[in-house]
Amino acid sequence: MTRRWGRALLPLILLAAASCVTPGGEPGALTDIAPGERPTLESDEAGLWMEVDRIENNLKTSGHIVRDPELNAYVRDIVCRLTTDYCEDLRIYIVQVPHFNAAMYPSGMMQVWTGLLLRAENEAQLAYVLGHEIGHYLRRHSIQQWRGVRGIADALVFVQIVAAAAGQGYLGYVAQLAALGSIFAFSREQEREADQIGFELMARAGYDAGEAGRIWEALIEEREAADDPERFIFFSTHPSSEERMETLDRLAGEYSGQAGLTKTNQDAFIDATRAFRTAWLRDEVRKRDHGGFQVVLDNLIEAGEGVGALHFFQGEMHRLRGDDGDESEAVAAYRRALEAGGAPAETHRSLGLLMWKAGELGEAGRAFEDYLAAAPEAEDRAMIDSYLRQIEGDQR
Amino acid sequence: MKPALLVFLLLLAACARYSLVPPGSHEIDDAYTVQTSIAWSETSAGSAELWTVDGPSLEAVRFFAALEDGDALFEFHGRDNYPRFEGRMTASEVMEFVVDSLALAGAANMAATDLRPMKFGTLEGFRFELTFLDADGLEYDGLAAGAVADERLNLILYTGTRAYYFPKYKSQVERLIASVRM
Repeated sequence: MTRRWGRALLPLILLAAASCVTPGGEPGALTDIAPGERPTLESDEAGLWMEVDRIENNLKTSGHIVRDPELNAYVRDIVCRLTTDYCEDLRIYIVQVPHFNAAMYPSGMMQVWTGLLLRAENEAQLAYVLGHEIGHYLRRHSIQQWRGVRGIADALVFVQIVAAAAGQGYLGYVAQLAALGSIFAFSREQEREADQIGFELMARAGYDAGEAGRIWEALIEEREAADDPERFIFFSTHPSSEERMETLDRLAGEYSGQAGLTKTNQDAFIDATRAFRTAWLRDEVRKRDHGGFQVVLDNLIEAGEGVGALHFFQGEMHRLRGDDGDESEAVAAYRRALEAGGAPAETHRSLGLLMWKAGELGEAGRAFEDYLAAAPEAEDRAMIDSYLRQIEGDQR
Repeated sequence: MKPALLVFLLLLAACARYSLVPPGSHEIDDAYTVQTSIAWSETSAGSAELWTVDGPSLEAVRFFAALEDGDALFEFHGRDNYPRFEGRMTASEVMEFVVDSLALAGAANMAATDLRPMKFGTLEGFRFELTFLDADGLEYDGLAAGAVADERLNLILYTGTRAYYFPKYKSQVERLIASVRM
């Protein structure tokens, strides 16, 4: 973790740094943060917390916050089962950003991006990511990093500037974390430590530790397929993915022998996220990172939940990319979506648009009629009716 | 009001130079003309000509003229992947292009409604409505009208805060759209 999470950690780092640092920023032995602990007002850590609080206050009113009470309660419940003693200290915000990321700030603010919720296959995978982030919080890694930064005053100004990025849409959040990560990236040792804690928390809650490596593998695969891997946010500040994989494999081996660690809670996870998946998939296709999105779709299709909708989005990806062969791939994907069932009514419309452009007027007309039959209250009914009139005229 | 809205709006507002658009007839990049009965402030915004009265984060009319294959609606600095216009787009795909562009520029909870045929000057065009939130959670409404002809897109996009500013100038924008001459 930590690549992406690392950016989020920046502020965390700042806060954390301030928390165990003596007034004036002198280094001192860092202890784990205690439940309910807040930095003393005269400490430099308090200043850092204040800046992070500003980020949090901006976030609270953001249009990108997912406010659904059931989904928020579900994620919060996982966090609290992982770390009961710190449950009251952690404030969780689900942010609608189509990138894999979770971010723990030193003040106890945790961001969980919807790109993570879309990519996780089950609750155990999500719990690993959350547990890792909690590990950074408990060990005050952010503060350690903060204390290692040359010129804390300058860095604090930097954080203040970066905080303003949150007001610029979800790309602002991405830029914010990337910028913070550029000076507050965790060390490999801290990553290993957070992984160790994450695994301990997972095991204590009874989760299957082997799931940690699986989500990591999928992420590496997505990065390799991404149209612009250099801009893959999660890895931008934490490049040691192979080493990380080795750590996860080793930890999984250590914990796999323990009895009772088999929980994935896949059904509960799917039930909690099902209602949001179409919106999150739409966010992903809008990014136009077609290569990376293909990997995400392949993994989700393999997992087997909501396959009809997934094939529809695969068709959308091909339709929007528009390279050689994409048109026929899109048509095939739409047909698979309709055969699988559960595809949105828009599948018919997208199929109709492609058929129309290909000059297959009969098939286009039938697809548009199917769309209106499946969605009689469609917002674009008047336009689709006009398409049908044009097709009818062209057929004469 | 909180700073925010969309990235491009902020950037534009921060450094744009404005000139007066008096009432009367105005040509948009040699592609079409519109008539206004009120004065606006005008600036350039990427590939658009932007008109506003109270400031682009409150209300703004963007005129796009003759966009061609590969053109974007807004500038997405530092990104290689973003929505691009294609000359063979249908009205449905143009609406998708506009919605996806706005979403990528920072709008949240984007929704487009009531896509319908409508004349754009002498061209067979389209019209649809928009709702979205900015990054601060402020509610916005919008409307778009345009047409694709000879594989080029002409489009008028109006956005404004749902409270006060969008409705304040909506009738003026409706008249602008109705006044389009090719």
